[in-house]
Amino acid sequence: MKKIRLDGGQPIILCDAPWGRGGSWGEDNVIIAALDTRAGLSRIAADSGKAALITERESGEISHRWPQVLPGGKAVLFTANSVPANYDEASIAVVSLPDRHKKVVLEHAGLYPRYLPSGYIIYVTKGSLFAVPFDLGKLAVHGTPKIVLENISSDQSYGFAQLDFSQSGTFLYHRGGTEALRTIHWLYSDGKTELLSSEGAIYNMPRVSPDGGRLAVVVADGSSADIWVYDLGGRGSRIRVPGVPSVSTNPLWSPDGKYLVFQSQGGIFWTLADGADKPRLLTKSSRAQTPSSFTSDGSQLIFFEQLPRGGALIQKISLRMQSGLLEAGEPELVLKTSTGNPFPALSPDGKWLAYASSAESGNYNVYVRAFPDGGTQKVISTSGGNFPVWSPTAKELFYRTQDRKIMVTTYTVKGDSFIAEPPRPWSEKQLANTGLTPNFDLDPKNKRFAVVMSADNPEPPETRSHMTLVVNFFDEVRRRVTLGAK
Amino acid sequence: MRLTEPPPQPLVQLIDVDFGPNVSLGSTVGPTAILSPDGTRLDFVAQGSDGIPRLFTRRLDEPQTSQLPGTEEAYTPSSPPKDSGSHSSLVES
Repeated sequence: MKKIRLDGGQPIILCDAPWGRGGSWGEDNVIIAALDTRAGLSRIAADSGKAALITERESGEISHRWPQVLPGGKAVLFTANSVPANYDEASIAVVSLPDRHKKVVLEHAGLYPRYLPSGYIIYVTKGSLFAVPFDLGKLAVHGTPKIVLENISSDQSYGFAQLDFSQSGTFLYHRGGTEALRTIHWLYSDGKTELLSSEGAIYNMPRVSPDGGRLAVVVADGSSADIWVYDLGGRGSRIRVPGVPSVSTNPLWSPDGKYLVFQSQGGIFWTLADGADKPRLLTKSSRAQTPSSFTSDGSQLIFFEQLPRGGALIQKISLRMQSGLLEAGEPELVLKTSTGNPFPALSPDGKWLAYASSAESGNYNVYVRAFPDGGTQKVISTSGGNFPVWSPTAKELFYRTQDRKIMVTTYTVKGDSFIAEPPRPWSEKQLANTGLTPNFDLDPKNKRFAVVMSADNPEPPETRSHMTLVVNFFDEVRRRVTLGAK
Repeated sequence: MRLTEPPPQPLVQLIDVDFGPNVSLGSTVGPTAILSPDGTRLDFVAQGSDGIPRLFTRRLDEPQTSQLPGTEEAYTPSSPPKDSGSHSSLVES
């Protein structure tokens, strides 16, 4: 995080902000900011840059972001969410700074809440701006939210809206909608696509089964997210993985295709892929644990666990099927990363671990280490990369760029050395914006990817140089809320 | 005779921030533009022909914009709560 004078000078570095998700400058020269995607809010001294965590995510919460210091500087309004890459029905929360007490003031409401000096909270869901009266003393809403404006540009993947306002009541916003619905396709290297699911939904985290015949994918709906398994053969049927409470994400096929492991509140779960039985807990943790890769024989699972103050622990556990039940051994540390989304992937021969890190360059890039770790890492991507995927049949390693395109590098192994050729684009097709969650997976049997694409038309370039200004906005909000209440 | 008065309409003004064909507002993450607390200035992220986002500032009553040096890859700008004359802005990059 940096600060800069608008009347001249160079930026001054305040503190590390690996993946900043908004900051708000309080009246006492203190900044409250979300410094990482998978951490709580921090309090930063605007002079010294000294940072301290002020909120911790509860079990099941993914992120605290887009804070706003409330008038008086004693409390902070922010977005709290439990569904990855879908903030359209996130919760709106406040934290009291003197005692760090956190509470949700509107559950499953929308994204990017802002308090207006006229006494209202505004927020956006599905492109509509809502307003509701807010008692600053009690830190509580009173009344029912009302729509006050339509066609507000917002980003459901990252959870922000294109709006701001002055203390004098001038409101600035970018007209547009949300990149809401997505579709799933096969993507080939020449850019051709083949529709897999014509029904638009909020898809992410696709995983193709080892035999290429099924697809597990997360479907988010409001404040919930479920895993669906699609039969890609002639029948085209689909089943929903029997639910555990709340949110199920990050499915991963076992190498024999018989079961799935996935992330949910409380740890990592496993379930039979045909949905014949209820999911069962595999690992227990109050922290977010994401299953990421199996050894080819299915005897070990690689996963990462996000740490409360940012960063993650890449770990492995041994697995054993006993009387039809999957059992896990004790976790063993593989690697500690300073960033929270490493998404490690083990090579087909089990000797190399690819993962993403932003510690070295500030941007996520893909690295490879020997497995078990030999102490050195080989950089694969140099201009941004995440979500490494190994080809099971060729010496190729794929990843996704920051602008959401698939890259590939060819590699060779000589002795203990991993030698990667410069990466090249595998396809120029841009995938859907799903934030820092996976949106593609390789078909192990064919040279194609299952990808999540936006179902909507992209924004025309000419609209990106216009914004709309509304004067007397606070009066307009009051009028519309009052009219709506009658 | 009108039986009811139509509701008052908000006064809406379209601001055209025109940087030419090779520049567009926006960053990948976070709001593109913010207003100063007194509503007289706009700070925003825009990409030039090189595709690199940088921070710009302009007064609303003036057409000129200024690019802030050293703000490559900036996103999510934020202002101090009160204009003090020594305008400074928070930038994550």
